Amino acid sequence: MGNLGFMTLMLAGVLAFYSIISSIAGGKFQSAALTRSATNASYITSLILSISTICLIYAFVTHDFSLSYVANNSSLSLDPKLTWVALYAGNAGSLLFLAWVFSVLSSIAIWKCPNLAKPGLPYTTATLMFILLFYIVVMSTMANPFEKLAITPADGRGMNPLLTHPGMFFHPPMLMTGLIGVGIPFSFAIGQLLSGEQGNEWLIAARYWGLIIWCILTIGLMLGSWWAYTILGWGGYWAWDPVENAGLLPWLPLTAFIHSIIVQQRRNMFKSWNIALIIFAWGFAMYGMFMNRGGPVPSVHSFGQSTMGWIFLIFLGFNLIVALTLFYNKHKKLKDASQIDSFLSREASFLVNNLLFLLIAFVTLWGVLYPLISDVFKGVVVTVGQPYYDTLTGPIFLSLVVLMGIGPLLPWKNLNNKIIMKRFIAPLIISIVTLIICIILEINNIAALISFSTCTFVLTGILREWATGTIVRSKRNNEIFPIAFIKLLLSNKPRYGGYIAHFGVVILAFSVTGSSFFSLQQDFSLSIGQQAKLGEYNIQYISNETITNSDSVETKAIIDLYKNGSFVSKLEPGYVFYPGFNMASARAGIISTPIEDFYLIASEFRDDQAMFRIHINPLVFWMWVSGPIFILGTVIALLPTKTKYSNDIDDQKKL
Amino acid sequence: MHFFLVSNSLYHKIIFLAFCFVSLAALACSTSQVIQTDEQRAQAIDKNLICPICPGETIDQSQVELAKQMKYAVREMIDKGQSDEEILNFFTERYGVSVLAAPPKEGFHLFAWWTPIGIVLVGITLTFIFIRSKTILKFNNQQIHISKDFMSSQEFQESLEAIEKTTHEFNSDITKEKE
Repeated sequence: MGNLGFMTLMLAGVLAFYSIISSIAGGKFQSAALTRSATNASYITSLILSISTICLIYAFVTHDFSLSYVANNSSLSLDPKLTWVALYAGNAGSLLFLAWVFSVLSSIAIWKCPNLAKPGLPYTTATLMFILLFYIVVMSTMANPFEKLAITPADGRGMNPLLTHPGMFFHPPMLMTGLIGVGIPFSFAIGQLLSGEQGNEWLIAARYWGLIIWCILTIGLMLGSWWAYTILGWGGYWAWDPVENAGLLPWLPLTAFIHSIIVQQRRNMFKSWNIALIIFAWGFAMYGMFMNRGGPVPSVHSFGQSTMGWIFLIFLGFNLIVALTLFYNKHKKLKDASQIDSFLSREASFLVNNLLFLLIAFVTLWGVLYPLISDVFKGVVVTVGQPYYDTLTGPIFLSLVVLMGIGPLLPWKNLNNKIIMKRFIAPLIISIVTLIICIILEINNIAALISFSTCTFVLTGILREWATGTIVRSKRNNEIFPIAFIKLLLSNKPRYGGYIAHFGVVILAFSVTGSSFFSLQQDFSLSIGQQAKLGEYNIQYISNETITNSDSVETKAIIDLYKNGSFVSKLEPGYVFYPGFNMASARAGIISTPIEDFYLIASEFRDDQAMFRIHINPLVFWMWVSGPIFILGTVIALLPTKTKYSNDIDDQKKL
Repeated sequence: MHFFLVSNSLYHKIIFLAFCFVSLAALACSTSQVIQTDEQRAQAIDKNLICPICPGETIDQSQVELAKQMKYAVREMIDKGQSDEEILNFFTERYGVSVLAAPPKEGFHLFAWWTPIGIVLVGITLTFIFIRSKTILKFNNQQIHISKDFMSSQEFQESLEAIEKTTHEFNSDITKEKE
């Protein structure tokens, strides 16, 4: 199977190369036959790469340890369910996974290409296949997943223990798909630059793919936080780790993009700006992939590490230079049809949104680069960590939430101020009420006060819109409220999908505020039988246990947890040690409630003594709730619309 | 005076200013966390110190012996009544600047802190100028010279409302047809 896998990989490379040549030729000479041939070649490439991937999965399932990659990332005792994770647990396999996912997405993108974008399709195909070819070439020359070992070992080394977590079934594939997926709207942008006349040809494709990839990337990042929270055992969910930053960086311009593309759709503006945003996003996505493979900074993500970082850096540089040169030469063709009429118009708020997202991206990038700058210019080694990012990005994120409350309430163009005032009164009153309640509750942190009242401002704005819309509909069409509400949502899917996603952001912001400003922690050293107290919680250390498995040793404490004196639950915090990897991973004991998480870590077991750290993390529960809401919002926004939603009733109706 | 907007509405100014105010207030307040007990103070310091032998982890996160000793030292110095700055300086002298989780806000390292803030200010200014230029340009291009009196006149308002009413009816017709 290993041979078949490698052969199909090579074949896929040849086909991708053919597809590039024939699609460029087809585009240049306006030859439909050549273009069709290129398109078919790209479909077959994805089929062949699928065979290649199946070969690797098959090798894992049959424990074919003659393959170096299989021997290094699995063992006979590996849970069969984890075969999927093993596929991308190492460098070569994750490259194959990336290439395979990208080829499949490319095929769908080419197949489903809207008619409007067809003139640019040859160039889009060429770009897609060029990116794919790069991965295939890297695999065949430097990181072959089908490489054979001289001697077949009896058993494999096993999988990196940090990956044996349910989150790992989805976090790495989602994040990898999200990163490489940015290549798809990017390719449409290139197609647009090379063939488009109006600057709007790529719009539909760009919006769809932008949203899909955004959703995948968002979920990937959130699953990563969830994994960090439950397994890395430091009680937090985001640490501004260099590789986390690398995942966040493309997300920022992509989020800006899915917003500003709406302006192009509605007002025929921001044409070249949108192309620039997607080029930034792709640049950051490639930077992310570079950081994951032999980037210069140590991190918890050193899974796919290798010494081939430089080749990704060259690829990044090449892509950016070509894309920006094209952009520079062609952007003057893209004339905006209208202009911003007022500071308090939807267009202006979208512009500010883009600015803020790019600023966060800049701060993050600056934080990554500054240690290098300091080292080069001053010879001083510095660390840029969490306190830096929290201080600088916190206020920008907060401003974004404020803007999220204001922006959607502003009408396009804005020629009438009466509408604005009507829309703002209810949210303003509710947010002031929240502020007063928070002050009564003795919340004395100003940032938290602003954040909570902003959250209710946004929430009221959204709910008011939904409520008035539902009431109007139900009166007009004689429908009962639930049906009127659902029909309202479906009457303008992109708009209401966006509202649902915003609703998710409010919940996320609420959760982040609670857990960053009101968390408590305390370390305790306890002997068996002893108790410790933090806040309303009491723990009693009952006993400890050591379980020896085939590949690991698990040590855990048995703890009784009491809240206000009454028994809540038994917890078993501890850690698992993997001798094969000389690595330990924590298993926190977590009791999660909507109000707060009780989070207990145990370490350093000595006879009847052990160290415990208690975290009380308020509102973290809501963070995991916001994820599904994002998905729901994106799905609704992506549902097909009969009309080209230009009939945004809302802007004219006076409620 | 068309300082903020083309139309000189008071509401526009209020809301725009409110947004500016909140952003600035947030900027000013983000660092001023209220710290109560000695232990919470110590934990805040722990989170600002990187463990010298385990890259990327603060002594708050790290479980190694050195991190524990450092945590112990932090608490001892707090007991002695030393300020946060003195404690951080103590560790900086010993292990170099890289022991701090963020660059110090002094000397060359101000560059790290002020560049993004500078970019923020430049960005806001540029956006402001951009929007203003576009709005003014538009009005110049179209040679519109409508006086404020006319904008607020009964006649103008009535015709505006009539237009809105027609579009609204048109849209609801479309919605009905779809259903």
